[in-house]
Amino acid sequence: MHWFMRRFRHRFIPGFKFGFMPGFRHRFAPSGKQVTLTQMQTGQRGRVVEILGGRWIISRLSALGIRPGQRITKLSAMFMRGPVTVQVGTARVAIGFGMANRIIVELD
Amino acid sequence: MKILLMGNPNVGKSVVFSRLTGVKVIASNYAGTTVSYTRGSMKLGEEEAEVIDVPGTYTLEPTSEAEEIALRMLENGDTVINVVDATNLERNLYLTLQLLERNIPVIIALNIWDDTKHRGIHIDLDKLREMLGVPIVPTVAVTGEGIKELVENIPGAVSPNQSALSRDERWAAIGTIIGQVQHITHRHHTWLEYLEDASVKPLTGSIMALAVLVGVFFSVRFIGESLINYVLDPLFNNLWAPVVMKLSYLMGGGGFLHDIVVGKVTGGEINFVESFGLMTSGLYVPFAMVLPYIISFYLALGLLEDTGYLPRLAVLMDNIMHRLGLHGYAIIPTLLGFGCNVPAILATRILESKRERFIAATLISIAVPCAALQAMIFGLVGAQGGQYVAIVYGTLLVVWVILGFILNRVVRGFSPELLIEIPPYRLPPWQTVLQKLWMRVYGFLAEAVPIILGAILVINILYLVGVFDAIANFTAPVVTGLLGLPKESVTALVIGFLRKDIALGMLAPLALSAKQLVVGSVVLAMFFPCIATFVVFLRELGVINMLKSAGIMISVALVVGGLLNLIL
Repeated sequence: MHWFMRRFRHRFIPGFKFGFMPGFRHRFAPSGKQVTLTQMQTGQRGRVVEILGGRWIISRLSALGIRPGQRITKLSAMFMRGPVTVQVGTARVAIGFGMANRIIVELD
Repeated sequence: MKILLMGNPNVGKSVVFSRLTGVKVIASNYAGTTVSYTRGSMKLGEEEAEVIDVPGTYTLEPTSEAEEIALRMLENGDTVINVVDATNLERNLYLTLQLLERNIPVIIALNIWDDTKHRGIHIDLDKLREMLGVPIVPTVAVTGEGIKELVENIPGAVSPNQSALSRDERWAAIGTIIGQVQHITHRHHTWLEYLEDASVKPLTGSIMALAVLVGVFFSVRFIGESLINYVLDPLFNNLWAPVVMKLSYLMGGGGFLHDIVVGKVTGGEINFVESFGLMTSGLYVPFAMVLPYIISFYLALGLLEDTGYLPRLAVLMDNIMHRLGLHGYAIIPTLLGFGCNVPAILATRILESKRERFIAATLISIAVPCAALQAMIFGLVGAQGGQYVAIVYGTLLVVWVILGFILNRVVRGFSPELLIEIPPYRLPPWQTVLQKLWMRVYGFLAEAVPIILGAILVINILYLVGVFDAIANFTAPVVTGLLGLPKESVTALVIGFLRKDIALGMLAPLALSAKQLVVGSVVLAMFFPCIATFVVFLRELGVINMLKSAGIMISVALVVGGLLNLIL
């Protein structure tokens, strides 16, 4: 039943859409040193803790080197909820705002 | 024997492919340049081997159309050359490990080897060979370094037949390998890297993007116009015109054959644009009006592609593109469309969802005029004044935005978020830039010139037979009533299905007013794709999507044409 709820809960709960997930916000309000990639300041460094998302997102992000345990530096963010650019290892990756919002980083 | 070139996007597979087979393919500095596979052959000892340039893929779990193609290719290959970016070893090894789990011999080309030195990356090759159990050859494909060794080592490719791991186990294994094989020494930023950072920051990035686009526009116009005014026009007027006049005289100055070969000659002067003969307009339009802009546009585009600027433009445009139901990377097919819509619609394969591909392909076919059409717009509409060219471009831009906005609301399905790798800036060697330019110019000449000549033949015959008059009378209410054009101009719309440059040229002898030319150019650009684009659209998106898209094109063209006619 769990997968079913997960998949369709936006149909059951009014106003429940990607990017405004009450569950996530409740669990990952900036507590201590853990923030989402979008909350991170440009130039800050940290370590990826968790990626909140389905298999597809996790698999695509990890293919680009963004997965729990990796060191990450935020290089820039475009204004008005634009993409976030980060450095992981020797590579630079641009991540859309909604996806960046689901990447939890523990700051140094 | 079938050799597959596989690897992550933007590691230089296409350059290695060119080096191995001698077949020239388009290579650029952004992920997703190759969206379909290219075949070539090479000598391997006495044997002839088939080499296939497979689109780049990060994993063997496909996430886009291009990656699915890669996976299907793997099923029937004999050997894999895994091209690996040496400056990005950790991430590249994930695909490598997946390949090693397959029952297929693998050899690794450790490409971009020269860059590791000035990036302070040290890789212990012997240890890496030992840990992976396959031959590894460091290469610099752009200069050809290491390619000979790579060829010599292909027969030594082996399959270590490693047991299949889970994703986490693979990453753990990679962590161990990297820890033992690679070490990075700290070094200071180079000026290119400062520029890299500046180009994705909001303020500096926007300024740079504006400067780049304005710079591209003016240099394309400057180079194109200079070629026309100082090289091609003098050639045609001083050298070719007397030859054609002589020909006209020899053919008796009139008659059926004369009109097809030389066209109409009025007052002892040849008007190369309006005469519409094979030897006059048939050569002047492709060579003296379109070719100069093809050269200047593809020179600029090639530079943008090879330096690695395009993905940064995608980051900057992401916000705007989201409003149109696309994400930033869709700007790359759109820019390619300003050269030719055919590769642009193929390039929509880099987008992940069907919905995005439909929106992108429709917007490109409607609102992005190809270089050939643009050259004619500059030539004909520009002669009436620059402001009219601006109206044409402004209208197309507004249509692009509004139509995208509507499609985003109407089309079902989902559009994923932007997730792309930003390549480092590279200064492309002049030979590669010029070689790519030549490939594209040659492609234009080989494909466009025969069609233009054929179109002129068809136009002349249809005129003589009277078919055009019948069509013109039949469609007169729409063309004259709604668009305010003379009824004969419908012939241009019909021929637009063959090629749009020569179609716009057909409006020249009709003595249209500036306003009518603007309406004509806009409607011609939007009304329907040319046959080449049509075929690719059909193949890539299917009959149903093509029909939907065609319906949108025709109705939008008529609405916008009618509105322009009322407003101007």
